[in-house]
Amino acid sequence: MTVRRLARVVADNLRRNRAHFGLASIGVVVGIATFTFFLALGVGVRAIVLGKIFPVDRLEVVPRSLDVNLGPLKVGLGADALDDAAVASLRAIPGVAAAYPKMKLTVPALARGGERIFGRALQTELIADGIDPAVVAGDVAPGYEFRDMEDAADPRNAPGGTCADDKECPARWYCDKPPPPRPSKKPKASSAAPATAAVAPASAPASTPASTPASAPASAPARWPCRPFVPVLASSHLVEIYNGTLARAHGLPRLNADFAVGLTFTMVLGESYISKAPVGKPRTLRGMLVGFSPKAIPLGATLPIGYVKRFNVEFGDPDAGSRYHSVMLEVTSKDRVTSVSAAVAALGYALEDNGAEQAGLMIAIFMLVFGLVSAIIVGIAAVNIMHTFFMIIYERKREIGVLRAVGASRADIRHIILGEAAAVGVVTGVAGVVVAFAASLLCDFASARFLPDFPYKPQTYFAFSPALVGAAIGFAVACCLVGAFFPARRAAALDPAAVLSAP
Amino acid sequence: MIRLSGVHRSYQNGKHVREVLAGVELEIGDGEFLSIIGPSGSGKSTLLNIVGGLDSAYSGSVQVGERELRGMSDADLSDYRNRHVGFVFQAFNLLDHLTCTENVALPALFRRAARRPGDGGAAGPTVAGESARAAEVLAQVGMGERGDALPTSLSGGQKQRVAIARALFGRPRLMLCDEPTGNLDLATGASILELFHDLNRRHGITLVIVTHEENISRAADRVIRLEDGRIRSDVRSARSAAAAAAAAAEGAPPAPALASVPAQSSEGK
Repeated sequence: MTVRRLARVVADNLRRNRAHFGLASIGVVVGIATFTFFLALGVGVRAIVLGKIFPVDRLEVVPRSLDVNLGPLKVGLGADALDDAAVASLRAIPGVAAAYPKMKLTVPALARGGERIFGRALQTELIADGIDPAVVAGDVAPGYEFRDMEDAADPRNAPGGTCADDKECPARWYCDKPPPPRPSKKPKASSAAPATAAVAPASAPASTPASTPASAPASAPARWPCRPFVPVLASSHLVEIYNGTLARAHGLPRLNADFAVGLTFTMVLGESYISKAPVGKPRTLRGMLVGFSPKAIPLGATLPIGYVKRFNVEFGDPDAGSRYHSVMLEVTSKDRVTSVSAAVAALGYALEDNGAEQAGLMIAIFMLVFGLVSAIIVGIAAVNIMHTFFMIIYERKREIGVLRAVGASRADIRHIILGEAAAVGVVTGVAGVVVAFAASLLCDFASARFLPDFPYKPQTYFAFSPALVGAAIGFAVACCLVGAFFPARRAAALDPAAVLSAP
Repeated sequence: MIRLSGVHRSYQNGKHVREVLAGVELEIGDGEFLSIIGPSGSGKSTLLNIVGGLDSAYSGSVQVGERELRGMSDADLSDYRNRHVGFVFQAFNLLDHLTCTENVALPALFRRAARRPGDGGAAGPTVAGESARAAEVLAQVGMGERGDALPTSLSGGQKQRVAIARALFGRPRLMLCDEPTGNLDLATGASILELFHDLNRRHGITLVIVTHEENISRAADRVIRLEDGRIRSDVRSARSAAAAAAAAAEGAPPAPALASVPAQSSEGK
């Protein structure tokens, strides 16, 4: 029997028995819809959690827990310290595409500004780290640069001349003149300004600037050097967290990442609400937000690592510029994460636990449980399909006998029954996927309409990939084929002589 | 030529075994019109099903042309039924959801590609070819105008004509009819018998009719009486010999030989 003729017979039989098949298919549709819905939900949530919140193709290597914590600085003991040699050994691990050292700013610092966006100046403790600009090259907003603009060894860095105000400096440079005189009020630690990224009104201007007039005669108006803004990246997470929590709690405007790029602020180095650096003279700099990156420090500002090295040495000890706090490893593929993790442990370092493993496990369990539930539903539906086919075959006994008499073989009969089952599977599979997709749209609509904003709130929680849709339809077809297997065998084994001679 | 030798068939019902055919020996010539008569349960239908390849649970030998049916694979037996045998049943066995044309063309669904020259025909005909052939055989049995009708709208006689058309669709050399007039009134039954005669005379189709009615059996050229699974009598009518002589004198074409049915391999499922 050719496929074309088989298809004709199957289509005709389905039309004729549509009431039977329609009822029997309900269970399969429900099962497949459940299967597809929860799998799409699991895959979608997994993509958000592991793709945005805890990227698994990047590992952060930190010194072992034997390290001694000295305030915000974690100092490694002996071989556990992360220095350039450690970075080189980590970079040599097979499966590591790149290793980028990161250094935290370990000097007291404040950040002040934000009038353009918030309507008033805010001041906060500055938590910052430094990163290799190459890591975040793709995250810098168009038209902006993220590099060490004051690295004397970089031939691109030329002096910017002198100025009386910002207008006389090139674009994205500022006139480094001292801040206006201020009341002699020392910044102090207070409950209103907690150390961790707290926001406070800018009532305490910075201390004495380090800048000095640029060799101007006493009688001439003072001129000051032009300096490039310190380029700063903020974490994409920061916008999510700010919009989801701080903006709501403090009645601040919501931030749009594109709108925030170009924001300038003042950085005070060497003193903060909490303490003052033991060495060096506090000074001010101005920074500019040049983009958002998932690789930036979650709650703070990320600078080109050259700045941080210099600041740490200027306000700390001379060795501070060669001690990294962590090294970010980019893995060639997610499949290599396990082997790279083992190699890191073998070198005597630890991986920062960012919760990805637990989150991934939780999602896997979630998907497994609902996958199991839907498999049970589909399994029960397969039994229902089996009953339906047995019933249909009983009703069509004589018809099967006639087909056998005119030349149908047992295989032909089997193929007809299994063809009907496969067709029912395809139809129910597609119906199940459609139901799941409709349910997902409903859920996304309800989320957008009724759920308050929260960090990482996605537009959709679901990921319907072609592979998932194919698997769902394949599952439905397989279920129907399994259900029809024994009925098809029975139909093929019918004795045509007996059924045709029956009254 | 169909040759049965030592054919035994028994049915088991629980522990009870009933022998329906007890060593049947029979030869049926090409183009013969043969009737098998006997009481209910004498094994008539069983014999018919065995010759038609519908029943293969027997012992003994059944040779049709050059082929031995016993031991043939299911696929080959199905192909044999499709190409060489036409069945007509007492209950018509038309499929009510199909039109007369579709019922008649049903064998085309299962027509396989010819595996060797003797199988006759190429791969299955086209849908248009099937419809044309169905219309042709419906016209041959006097149902040319009812091709689009559903069987439920036909009388018993019309249904049986459609069933005969279906049996003729594949140009079989052998027609096996199981009580073909059993559900028909006398006049309709007579017209169906006349149709059989016509098919036998004009197309030389070997015709085997099973019946338990004496008057029906007398219409055949040869009457086999079956009782308790054994052939009790085998009578050829005088008309049979006279008709054969007349046909020879008129130069009528010889009956297509079932000897042209080739032996098959055991290929298939």
